[in-house]
Amino acid sequence: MRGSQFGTVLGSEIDGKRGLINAPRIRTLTLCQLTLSVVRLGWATRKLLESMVGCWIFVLLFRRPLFALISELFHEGSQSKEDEAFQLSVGAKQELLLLVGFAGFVSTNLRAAPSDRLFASDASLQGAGLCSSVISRFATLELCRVAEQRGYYTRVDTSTLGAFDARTGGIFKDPDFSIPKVLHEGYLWDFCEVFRGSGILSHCHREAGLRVHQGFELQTGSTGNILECSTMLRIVGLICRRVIRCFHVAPVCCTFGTLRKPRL
Amino acid sequence: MRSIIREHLRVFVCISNWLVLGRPKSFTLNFRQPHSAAQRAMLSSLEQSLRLWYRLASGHSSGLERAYGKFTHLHDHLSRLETATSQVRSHLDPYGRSSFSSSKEKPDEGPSGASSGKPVMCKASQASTALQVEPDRLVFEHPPSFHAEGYIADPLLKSGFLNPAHLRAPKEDWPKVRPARVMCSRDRLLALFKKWDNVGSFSIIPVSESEVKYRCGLFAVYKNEEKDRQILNPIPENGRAIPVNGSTTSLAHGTLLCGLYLPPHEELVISADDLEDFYHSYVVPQAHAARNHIHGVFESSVFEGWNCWDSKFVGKMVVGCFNTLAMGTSFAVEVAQHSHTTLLQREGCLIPTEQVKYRSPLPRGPVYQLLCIDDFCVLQRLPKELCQSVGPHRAIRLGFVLPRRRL
Repeated sequence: MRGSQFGTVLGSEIDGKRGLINAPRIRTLTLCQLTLSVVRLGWATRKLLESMVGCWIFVLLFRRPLFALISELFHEGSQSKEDEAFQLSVGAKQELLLLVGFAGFVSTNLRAAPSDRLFASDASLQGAGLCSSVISRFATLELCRVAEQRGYYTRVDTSTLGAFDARTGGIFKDPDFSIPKVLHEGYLWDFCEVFRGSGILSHCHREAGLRVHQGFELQTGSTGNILECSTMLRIVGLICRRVIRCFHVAPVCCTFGTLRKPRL
Repeated sequence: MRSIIREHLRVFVCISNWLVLGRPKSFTLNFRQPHSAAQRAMLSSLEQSLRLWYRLASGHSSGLERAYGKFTHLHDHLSRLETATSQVRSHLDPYGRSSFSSSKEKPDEGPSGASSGKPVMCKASQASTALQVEPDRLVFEHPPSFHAEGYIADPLLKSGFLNPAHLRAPKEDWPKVRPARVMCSRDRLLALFKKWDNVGSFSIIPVSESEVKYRCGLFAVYKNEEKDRQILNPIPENGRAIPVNGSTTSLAHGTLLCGLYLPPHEELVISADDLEDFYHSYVVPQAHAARNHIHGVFESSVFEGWNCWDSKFVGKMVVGCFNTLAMGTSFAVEVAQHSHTTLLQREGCLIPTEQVKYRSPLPRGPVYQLLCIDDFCVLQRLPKELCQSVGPHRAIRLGFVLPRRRL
């Protein structure tokens, strides 16, 4: 194949014009027909079902969220022998029908615009948390690109005791298991002025209900002179600790001439 | 076709609603509102997708390629199950319609235990997708000509390729051996040996140098309407070999491309190569060929006049060996992927920063290279105008000299 915009390579059917990638459609359609036959029959063997689910897993790899459609199929017939015929449960038949119903849409749209929001959630059964933040589309693409490629199994405790623990706090009530506090101090002040002068800006911020640092002013002596090493390090320390949301630095309103004493 | 698409769409909307409502057992439609503009647009888009899907999904069974064998196997299994259920039905309802149709079926096709109260066992006609070896359906046209040892950078793998005994696990770790089976008659095996011999892929060793329980089996799997794929079954030999899988983890698969983003102003152009009979182009030393010893002992005189013949075999009993890299050998994938990767990298065809690999970040593009043993595929994102003005084939040439842009 040379310079083609449509083709089947490495088990995937790619449409380079529309930007679609999916399992070869002819195979998916044939699989649908076989699946409908199994549903119509209502009986299967473990071997037959395993083989069929295996085929569907390959198809679903092209639209991973659709794995949410199947659950019971993975356990169906687990008590039966390999070649022993058993009656399919209602749930398993429903899942097979769902797969057939969704078959026409099991593809990835490569042209789908990346989201401009980043979402984070936990996986607990109780009090699930969800937060989001604005993020650039470039960053979204980068995150998708370098995302963890190899998943690992995380078990959610679905037992009665687990549900009770989730509701009441469980082992996290024990100080030994408590979640340690973050080392980050957080924002202690909202605003700080360097070269405060008469401090009108600080006063206005305080009036607005914000927490304002006392600031730095040359007139107050060496503690306000940024040419003093100790003062400079204090300011740098506040910046590094990230305890102040906003700094306002306004150099003194006087000449930078060489005749000024002390010199700036 | 239009009515089928409409029906499929209706079913899809129904099941989507059913899922959204939490899979209710019953549902009462109290009122029906007209579709909003957004809903109409969505339905139209879905219908368009389905129309495309149905249009591209139709074709001959040959379009199924390798899946044909598996689907046929599934279909056979299903047919036997249908036979089983119809027989059970006829026993339960002897005057029903199904008893007439089931009475016509041959007794040996029925399921075991259908009428005895035991669980209904439904064995498929064959245990797996393995087929009988038909020499006429196996193609060997080219003699092995690729000396891979020059392209194997891993010393352990190279050593194992030249002499598989170096990859053998300690004797105390060898598992219990289950003999492998050659899935064809002795005459057909000889016909196959002759095919191998014609292209220099066959050798013989004295029977004393081949341990019976470690001899290999042979079977075929469906490839297409005309050909099968030959698979050696060296499970006993594989069992006592240590696993080597460094390069195997770099195998690429099409699903990895699902992470690719195609901006509106670009299109994707594909070029791909599939090398014919890749494994069987490897030249292997005699020590390697001896690992591929096949069940079946012959008088050496049978092979007199063949390419593999040597006067030292006169009067001896011999076994045949497949004298090239065999599909089925535990480290065959590793050797093939490793040597092909090294070869392409040395020639500047495979750039590590552009290679799509399993469990590795997808390259930023605009060029994506995928290597899966003998399949080498290159995709490139190119400006839409370039593809439309000069055609994708020429655009890909121009695209290579364009500065490689980042997203």
